Amino acid sequence: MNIVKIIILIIKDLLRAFQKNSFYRPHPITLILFSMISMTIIMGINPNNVYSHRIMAFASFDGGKIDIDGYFSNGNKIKGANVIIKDNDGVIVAKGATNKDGKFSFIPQKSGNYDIIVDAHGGHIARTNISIQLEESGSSLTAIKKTPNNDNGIEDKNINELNKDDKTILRELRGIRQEVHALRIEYEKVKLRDIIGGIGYLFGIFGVITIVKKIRR
Amino acid sequence: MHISEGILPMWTLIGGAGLSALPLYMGFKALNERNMAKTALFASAFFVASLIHIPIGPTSSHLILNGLLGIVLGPRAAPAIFIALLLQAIIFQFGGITTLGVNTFNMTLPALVCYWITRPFINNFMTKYPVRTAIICGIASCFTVLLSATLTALSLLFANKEGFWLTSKMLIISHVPVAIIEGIITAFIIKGLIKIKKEVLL
Repeated sequence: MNIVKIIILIIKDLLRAFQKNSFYRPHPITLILFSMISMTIIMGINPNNVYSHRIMAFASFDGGKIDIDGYFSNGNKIKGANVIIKDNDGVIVAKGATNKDGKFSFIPQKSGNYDIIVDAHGGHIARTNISIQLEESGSSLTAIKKTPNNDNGIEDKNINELNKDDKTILRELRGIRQEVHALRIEYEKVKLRDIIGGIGYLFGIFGVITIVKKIRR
Repeated sequence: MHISEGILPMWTLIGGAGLSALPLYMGFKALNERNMAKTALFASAFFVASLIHIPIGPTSSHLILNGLLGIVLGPRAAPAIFIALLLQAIIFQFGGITTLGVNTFNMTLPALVCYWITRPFINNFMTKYPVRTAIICGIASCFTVLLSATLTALSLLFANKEGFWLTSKMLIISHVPVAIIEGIITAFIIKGLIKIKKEVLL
């Protein structure tokens, strides 16, 4: 059977649906084709945006500033969401909106616990908190650099080596941080397993209701 | 559409729970063996429909299908919506346990209004004019979504007064495309149900 024949069959079948006074039972091929088309239309409105409802906020501290990222649960970035940052006492420290990469960053003045609220309008809100420890006089790296030690060549060399090590460590840390970030997004996504499990629970609950009603009677 | 936890003040949450108690009670009473399977099936459709998204601006809105639930299930839409929302809150963290009452009310009341509007058409003209009945059901479910959006916007009014106009406008505007798509989907489903299995709608 070639494609033309199938198409003619489907068109005939569809025309039959519009005839009056006839009980229409669609041909299996038409049924399969249309269910496939409707599925692709529903999922294809925007394939990236299926399953994005909840929003998530992540905060990370890199020694100088706090970076906040807002995501939908499918991993898309939230643009233009309001961000409010409160300190321990509930005082608003910073306020703003995420940029087009879904990012917002601010420089904390003191160490402690910060509450971060990301509000993407329309009742979608995400909360997260971060507790940070600021070092008293800059980071250890700059402290070492500033030490005046010019008359000893060996120590100078040591400082250079330390510098190099610190740089590689920082680079590696950044990579690890990005990986953790990606993993967290992956973890928070809605999964097919959850959806099917949820449908199972639904039927289970209605089954329990049926049993309870039967016992009562 | 689902209001998250920690936005609304306490009295709104309690008020929403109180308002949704009556339709829930009536719905559970109306459930019987004949329509239990149907209710479970449409509840799962509602459960999954919330995952299908249409992106609009910074926020994105999803299908709701509460019009379809209202048309097909009638008063039994209340328990179906309640249980589906409960599972969404537990599994996906959509909405939340404390806002369950408000969310149930916001989606159930329009569904019941939709039922009340479409019932005479389904009872009287279903066999005579199936296409027109389906179109009327589609238009009714379109307005059901907009009514739900309006109710959600009104509930958010209690949360923050200065941001109300922006939030409310955003919510209603972002639900217009959803409403249109949902109207078309509902019309096709009702048309199919009339042709294949009329008993479901009675």
